[in-house]
Amino acid sequence: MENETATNVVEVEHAVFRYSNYTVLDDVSLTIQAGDMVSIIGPNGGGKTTLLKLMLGLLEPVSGKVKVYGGSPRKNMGYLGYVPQYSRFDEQFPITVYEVVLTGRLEKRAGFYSKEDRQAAAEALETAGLSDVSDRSFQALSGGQRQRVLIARALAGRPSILLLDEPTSNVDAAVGSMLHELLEELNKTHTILLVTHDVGFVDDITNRVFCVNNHVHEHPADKLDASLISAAYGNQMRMVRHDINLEKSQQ
Amino acid sequence: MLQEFFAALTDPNVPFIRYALIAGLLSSVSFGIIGSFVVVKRISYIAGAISHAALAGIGAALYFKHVYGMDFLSPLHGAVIAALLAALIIGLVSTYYNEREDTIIGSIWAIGMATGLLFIAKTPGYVDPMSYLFGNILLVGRQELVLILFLDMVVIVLGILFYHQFLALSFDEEFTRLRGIPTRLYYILLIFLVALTVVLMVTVVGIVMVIALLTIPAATAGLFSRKLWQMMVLAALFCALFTSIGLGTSYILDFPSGSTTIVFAGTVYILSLIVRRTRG
Repeated sequence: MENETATNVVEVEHAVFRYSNYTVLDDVSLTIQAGDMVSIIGPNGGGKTTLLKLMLGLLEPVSGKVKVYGGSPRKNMGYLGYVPQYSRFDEQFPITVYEVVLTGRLEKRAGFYSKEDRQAAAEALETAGLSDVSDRSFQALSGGQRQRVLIARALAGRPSILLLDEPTSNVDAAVGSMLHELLEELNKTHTILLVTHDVGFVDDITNRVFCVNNHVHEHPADKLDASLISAAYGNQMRMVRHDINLEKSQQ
Repeated sequence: MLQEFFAALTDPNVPFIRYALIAGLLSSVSFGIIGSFVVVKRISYIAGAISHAALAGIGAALYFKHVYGMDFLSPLHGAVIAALLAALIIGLVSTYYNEREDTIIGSIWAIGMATGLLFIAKTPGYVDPMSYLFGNILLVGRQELVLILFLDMVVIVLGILFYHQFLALSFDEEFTRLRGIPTRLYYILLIFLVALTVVLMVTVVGIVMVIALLTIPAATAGLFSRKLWQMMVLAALFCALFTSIGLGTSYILDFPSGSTTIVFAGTVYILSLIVRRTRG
């Protein structure tokens, strides 16, 4: 999204979140602009998913504010497209790919999907490269395909922000690069936030990196160095330096 | 032997067989729809608790009818009220207090049965609790049949009208909530429909076995379905088949109808599982 006047699409101001008496997020402030491709990294239990859920309006901060397009996330949920991890779905659920994507158009009122809903679902399937498997059973697909179905479901609602939770968990490298391409393409028209463990997955397309470990720090996206890695995984980490080859340097 | 059964169906002197068969066939549609939701949403234990809690209402209705002369009361009325009440409590507990949900469901299950048995014990005259626990087609009268038809229509209409919401809720509750759907409300509505459905066949197969008739046809149908609505249609057909064959067999061999139906349904399910497994 090449926007001259940067719009703040998500604003978090001094947000605090606690589960009973454990503070997961403490005084978190950040701003995301239209067209950003944001990676949210951090150790397990550091609050990445909690931050995502605050932005989605699935959780409410104890204090502070979370705003989406200037309003509450629940009021402006139409702007948000949520892509959860595919692995949490029931393996036996009788549903086709097309039906899953249609639920991205679901409305409060009773009744059936309109022609426009069907069209939006078909377009989303096309964008995600799934048109030829639309009539297949969701459970029969590979992990990477299922992940793309969930992206298509989010796209069907025509959101302007996509929020993805660990899109590369449990997918192999080939699938990962396919998702990478898809996200790069989608970033031309959508603001993208992704929670990830896999720092390497998005390092070349991400323009901002937030590290969440009870607090949130922004890291420069062009320097994925040791400090970032240790911030992402906690301190007891050793880094594999792919840029230095010992054999070569000894010769 | 089969002619005997068909003769009985048209015999004006034994209307109960005809009534039971009509009740079974009518209810099968609801059982197909709601049973499929119960299976895919994995809430059969909730259906179990609701059906057992219905005994409290049956007992209370019998008691008030005989002790206070409330002749308009039918055990089925009591069953509807108790089942809806149990559904409301379970619905609220499981949406607002996730902890110990299973303990509360188990308590409702047991307390409902115990209350029902106490009422029945204190009802003058002889009422056999076995009839309600394991089904007795003699209990299906014309008045019951009208009520069953009415409840059946309610369940079918709401089940179809909110099909997409219930489907999305069962598949991914979190995402459904993000579409602005009041998922808790829909969940409670779904449990209400489960309660009404359970009551439909309480007289035919009994409180204890009604969950089997709710889940076995749907689970069998699930083995051969790629879409939820296909599963529902197939489940309704299976349910109709199981109840009619169960009724016919029980009449011819003089077996209890509920047990005959469930044993037949269970056998078909197990055979289907084996067929599905061996054929990949």
